[in-house]
Amino acid sequence: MIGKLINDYIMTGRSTPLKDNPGGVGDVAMFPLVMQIVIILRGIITGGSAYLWSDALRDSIFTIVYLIIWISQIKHPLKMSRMYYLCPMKREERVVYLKNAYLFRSIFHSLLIVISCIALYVVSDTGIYPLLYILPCGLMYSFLSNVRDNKKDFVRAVILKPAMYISSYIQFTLPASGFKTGDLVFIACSFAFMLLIELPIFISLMRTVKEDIKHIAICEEGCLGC
Amino acid sequence: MISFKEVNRKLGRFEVKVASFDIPEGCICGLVGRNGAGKTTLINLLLGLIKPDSGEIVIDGMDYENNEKDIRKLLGFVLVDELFMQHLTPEDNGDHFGSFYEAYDKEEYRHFLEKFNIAGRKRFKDLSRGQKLKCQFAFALAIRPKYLILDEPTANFDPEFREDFWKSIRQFTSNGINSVLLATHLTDDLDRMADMLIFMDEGKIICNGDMENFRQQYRILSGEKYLLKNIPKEYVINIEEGKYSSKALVINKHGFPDGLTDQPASIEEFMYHYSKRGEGK
Repeated sequence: MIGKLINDYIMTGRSTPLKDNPGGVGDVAMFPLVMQIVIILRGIITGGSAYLWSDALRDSIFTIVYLIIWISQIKHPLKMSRMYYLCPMKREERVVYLKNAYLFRSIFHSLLIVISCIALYVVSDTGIYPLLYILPCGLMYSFLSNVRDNKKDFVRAVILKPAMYISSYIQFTLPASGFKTGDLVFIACSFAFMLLIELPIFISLMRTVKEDIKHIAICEEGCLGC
Repeated sequence: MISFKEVNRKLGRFEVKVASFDIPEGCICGLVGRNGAGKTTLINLLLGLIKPDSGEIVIDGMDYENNEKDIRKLLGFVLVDELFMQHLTPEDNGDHFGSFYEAYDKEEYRHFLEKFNIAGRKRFKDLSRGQKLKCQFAFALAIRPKYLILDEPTANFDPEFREDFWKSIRQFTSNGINSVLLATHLTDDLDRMADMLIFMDEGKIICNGDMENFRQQYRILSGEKYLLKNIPKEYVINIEEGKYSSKALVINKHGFPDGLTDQPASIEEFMYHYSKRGEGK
């Protein structure tokens, strides 16, 4: 079962190249832009503090994991090629197949986030408070999926992804300990942003994913033009 | 046996409306018609890719509503669309999709790839159109289906392979159980090989039945124009007037006037005259 899911994940990834996916290329191209914004924001917040090697290591771990997940979501869109509809499966089995594939990649992404959080804690001076934000936000980010047919949700996901990345990244500006009043306000604002903006959008996107899986399992609805 | 029972499906302004017909076991059935006649829609209905608005399709006593998985085990297919994953090799594609079939024979698939001169380690997208179809044909055979549904594959096959293709089809149906539905524009092959013919036009089945009946029913008469004009109009599908001699496609239900040459209509002649009907009467 796990072997088949791993095999499917690799096969689908190999067969969905970024360059054949204009939306995907655009999506990935956004990443350096987002990083640029993040670096400027960080400069503004920290007042231009010196950038150390430890910062570079921490940023690399964080950014690379986010970039891998970003690309993985584009290369594993929630859809089925026509061939899958012709293979011997019932509709319910296609739903299970889609669910398993979606859960597998989301759990794989979550695992990367958890490992990166542990790595951040171990190799950099990231404190526990930033991680309390970075971890749940990263886990939500892991479960996002590219649903391109639904423009409204696509726009939401495209906005949510950089928002999660940026809001997580700027947690690094917090000191490891000894918070000042400003830091506490910053923590409160961050969690308010997560709970009041990111989480509701995430929940609505998850509802869409659930509905989409049911629809995609039917060829006429899931494979229009594929 | 594959049975279509008063199947109706509307796709925008186009409508496929087919009267009941059966494709029996052990037969090669040709599906012909002009572009846009509804052949691919009929095949999509048969493959359960689209649902009929009314009527039903029954395959070996089973319908898609209740027995989708069991039906799909019986069907092998080569479609106009490229079904395999473009960035995988034919071997990887076969192994990946073959894992869904209990009867998939990996060795047989590789044997067919070799026989059809397909480089198994080349990426699918780098193969020519004909090679891609050969690849899908190899896969269709390797899953050991009971019915092969082929949507216009032959046009892209080289003449050398076409012979191999027909040999494989003959071998496939030789057990008297397996059947083939082949949509094609290359009607010469069908004239030689098909046991049954379905001719579609504007979403409807104009004629269907075994080839022997078809040859008996539709005749090409050649001779003097005035002799052809004497045939009652209800039997004449089309008359094509020539300078020295004229030709007509007629329904063989009447004793024809003396002096006319009578021969069975080929599928191509039938299609040609049918498309011209009403123009030269």
